[in-house]
Amino acid sequence: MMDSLGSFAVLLALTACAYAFLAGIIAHLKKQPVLKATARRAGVAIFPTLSVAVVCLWGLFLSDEFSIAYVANHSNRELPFFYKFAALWSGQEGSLLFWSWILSGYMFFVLMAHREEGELRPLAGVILAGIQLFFLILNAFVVSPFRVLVEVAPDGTLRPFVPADGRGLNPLLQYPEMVLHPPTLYLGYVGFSVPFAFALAALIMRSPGERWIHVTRRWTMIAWGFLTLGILMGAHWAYAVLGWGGYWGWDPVENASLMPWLTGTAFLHSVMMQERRGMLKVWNVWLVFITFLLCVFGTFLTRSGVVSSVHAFAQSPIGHWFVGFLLLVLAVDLFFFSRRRDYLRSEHRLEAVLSREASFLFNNLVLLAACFAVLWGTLFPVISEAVTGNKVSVGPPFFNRVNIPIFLLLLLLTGMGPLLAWRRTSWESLKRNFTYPTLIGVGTGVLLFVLSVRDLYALMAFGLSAFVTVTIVSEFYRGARVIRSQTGRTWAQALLELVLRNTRRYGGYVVHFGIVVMAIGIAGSAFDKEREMEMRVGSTLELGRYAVTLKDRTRGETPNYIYERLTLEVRRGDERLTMLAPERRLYKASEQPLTKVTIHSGWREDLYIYFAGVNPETGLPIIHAYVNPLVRWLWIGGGIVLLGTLVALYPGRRPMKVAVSERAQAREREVAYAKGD
Amino acid sequence: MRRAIEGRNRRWIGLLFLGALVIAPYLVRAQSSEAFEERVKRIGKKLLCLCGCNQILVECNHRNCPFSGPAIETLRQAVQRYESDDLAIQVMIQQYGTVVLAAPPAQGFNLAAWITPVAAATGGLVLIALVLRRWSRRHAVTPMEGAPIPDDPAWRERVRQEIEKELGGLS
Repeated sequence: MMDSLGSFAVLLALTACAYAFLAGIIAHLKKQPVLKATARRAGVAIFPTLSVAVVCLWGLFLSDEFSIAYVANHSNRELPFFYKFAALWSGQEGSLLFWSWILSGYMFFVLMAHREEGELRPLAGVILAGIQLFFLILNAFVVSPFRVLVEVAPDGTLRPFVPADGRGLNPLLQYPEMVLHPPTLYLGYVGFSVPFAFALAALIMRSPGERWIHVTRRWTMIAWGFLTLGILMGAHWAYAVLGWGGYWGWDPVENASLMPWLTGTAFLHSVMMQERRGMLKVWNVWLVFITFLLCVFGTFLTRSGVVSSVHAFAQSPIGHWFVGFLLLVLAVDLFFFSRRRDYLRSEHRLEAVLSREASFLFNNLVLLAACFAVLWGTLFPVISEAVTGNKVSVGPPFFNRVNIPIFLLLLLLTGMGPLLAWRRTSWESLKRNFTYPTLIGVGTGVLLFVLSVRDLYALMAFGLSAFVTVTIVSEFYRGARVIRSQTGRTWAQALLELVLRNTRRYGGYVVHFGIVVMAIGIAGSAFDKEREMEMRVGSTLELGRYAVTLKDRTRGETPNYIYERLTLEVRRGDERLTMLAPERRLYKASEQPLTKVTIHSGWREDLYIYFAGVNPETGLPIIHAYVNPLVRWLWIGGGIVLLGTLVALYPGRRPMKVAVSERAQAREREVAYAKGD
Repeated sequence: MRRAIEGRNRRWIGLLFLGALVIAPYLVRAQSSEAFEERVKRIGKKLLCLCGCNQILVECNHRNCPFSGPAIETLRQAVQRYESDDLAIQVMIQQYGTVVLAAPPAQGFNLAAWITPVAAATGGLVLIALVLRRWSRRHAVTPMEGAPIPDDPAWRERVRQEIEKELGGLS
C-alpha cells in the first residue's frame, strides 16, 4: 500500500514538474500570464507531493517492510529507530529521492518567496523545474526506491519475495553524525541549484539592475554554509569512525564536495566586485555555472563507480544519465552565454594592482587553482589509464604536495585583501596597515622556530595565521574605536553595533577568523605521533605525555551487534585523566565488523585509541594509539566559520543617527544641503 | 688500603665492561629493529592500499583487509633484502604494478600529473597580469585628475551614499 502510494506520488510529482517546466517555457515565450501562474502552481505542488513519497519510504522502513528491495537492503528489524530514519538516504535510490525532495523544497521556497524579483522568479522556477525533471525521471524510472523484491521461481518466472529480516544498514553509517551529515551536504549541493537558476534566468532575460546578483549571492551563501557544515561533519565522522587517525584522506568523494566549495568561495568574493564596481560579470556568471556543474559532477563521481572510493555507492548505469545531464547543462550555459554576452560587459576597469579588486582577482585565481588541482588529481587515474593503458593511483601525498602551498597562499591573501582599499591603495597606507601584522606574523614564525618547530609548512601556517588574526582584530578595533568616539559606548556595545551595521563585512571577517583557527588545527597534523602495541591486562602503552593501561577485556551482545570491549585507563604523569572503552563490533544482520574509536580530546591534542585487532597467535588485543595535536581547533574553527556565515546572512541595519560630534553635524548639514532643505 | 680500593674499582670496571659487552648486541638489535620499522613505515607511506579504501598502505586499518596485510609483509621482506628504499619500492611495483604508488611517478605521461596544476596556475597568473596591464593602460589614458567636479547636489548625495556604504556607517 505505502509503496504504491509512494510510487504514485513520485509519478504525480514528475507530471507536475513536466507541466511546470513546459508550460513555464511556453508562458515565457508567448507572454501568457495565466499559463505562467499555472506553471508556478504546478512547481509549488511538487514539494508536498514528493513529501508524501518520502513519508511513505520512511513508513516502509519503520514498519520493516522487507518486501521492498531498498528497505531489505538497508535495514533490519533490530536497527535502532534513529538509524531507520537515516537509512532513507543510505543507498542510491533513497538518496536520490531525498535529493529530489530537497530540491523541491528549495523550489517551493523560491516560488513562494522572492515576489519582488518580478519576471526573474518565474523563469528561475522554470530552470529549477528543468533540473528537478531530470532527478524525478531517475526516481520514477531508473532507480526507484519502491521496487518490490523478487526471486526467480522454479519455473523461471519472477515472483515477489519477502525475507525474514533485512540485510541491515552499513555499520559505518550507524553513527549519530551520519544522520545529519548527508542532509546538510545535500542541502549544500542542491542549494547551489538556486543561484544557478537565478543567474541563468538573469542572463536569459538580460535582467536589468544588480538585484539578481544580490539574490544569487545570498542563496550562494546559504548553500555554501550548508556545504561547509556537511564537509565538516563528514570530516568529523571520518575521524571518529574510520579509525585511521585522520579526518581528510583526499578520497574522490571528499574531493567532490571540496570542489564546489572552492568555486562557491571564489564567487562569494568576486561577486563583491560586481556589486560595488560592476566588474567581472562574465567571471561571476561562470563561477555560478561551474559551481553547479561541479555539484552535478560530484554526484556523478559518487554514483557512477568511475573512481574507486570507500564512500561511493555501488557501480550502476546511472553514470550515463549524469554525463548526459552535465553535457546538456553545459550546452545550455554556453548557448545563452554566447547569445547574451553583451549583457555581461564590465562597467569599470581595474585601476591599480594594489587594490582590493586585484586581491580578489588573485584570491579567485588561487581558489580556482586549488579546485583545478583537486579535479585533476581526482581524474588523473582515469585519464592516465585512457592514454597509457596503465593504472596509476593519486593519493594523499600528491594532493598534499600540490595543495598545501596553494592553501598557504590563500591564507596570506585572506589577511591581505581586507587591508587594501577599493580602486587604489597608496604605499603609505600599505605600510601603515601591514607593518604590525607582518611583524607579528614573522615574529610568530621565528619564535616557533626557536622553540624547535622545524616543519616548514607548519611554521608558515602558524606565522600566516598570526598575520591574518592581527589584520582581522585591527579591523574590528578600528571600527569599534570610531563608534566609541562617536557614541561613548563600551567596547562590547561598540563591537556589536559595528557588526550589526555591516553584517556582511564583519560576518566575512568572522569567517576568515574561523578559517585561521582551522588552519592552526590542520597545521597540528605535522606533529602527529602514533604507536601500536599488543597488550595484556595490566600492561601499559606509553605515547607522548600519556600512559594507557589495559584494565579489562569484556565481551557482550546487544540486539543489533556482538562486541568486544577494552577498558583502558589513561594517565598523564601522576594524574588519572579518564577511562576509555574502544570496541570491536560484529553487526548481526549485515555480518559486517566495525571498530568503535575512543578519543580523549583536549585543547593541546587528542589521544585517539583504536582497537586494531587481535593477534591470532597470542589471542591478545592490539591497540593503535595516536596523539593528534590541535585537532579540536579544526572543529572550533569550523564552528566559527558557520557563525560568521550566519552573521553575514543576517540583514544589517542602517547606521544609527549620532549627532554628537561636530563632524557628524557637519555631515548632516551636507546631507540637508544635498537634499535641498 | 688504597691498593684494596683500586683493586675493587678495577673489578667494578671490569664487570661493567663485561655487562656492556653482553648487552651491546641486544641494544644494537633493538635499535636496528626500530630503524627497520621506521623504514617500513616511511616507505609504506609512499604506497597505497588497493582494497578500495584509498588509504596509505601502512595506515589501512580494515580488519582482514585482503590487500594491506600481504602487501605490508611483501614490503617488510623487500626492506630486509635491499638497503635502498628505491629498490624496495621497485619490488612492490613489480609485484602490484605502478598503481600501488600513492602518487604518480614523475616520468613519462605521469609527469603531466605534476606539471599541469602548476602550469594552469602559472597560466592563470600570466592571464591576470595581462588583463591588469591592459586595464591599467586603458585607465592611464582616461583623465582622472583635473576633471571638473560637477556642482550637482544629487551627485554629491550619491557620492556621500557610496562612502557611507563603503565604510559601513563609520565615516
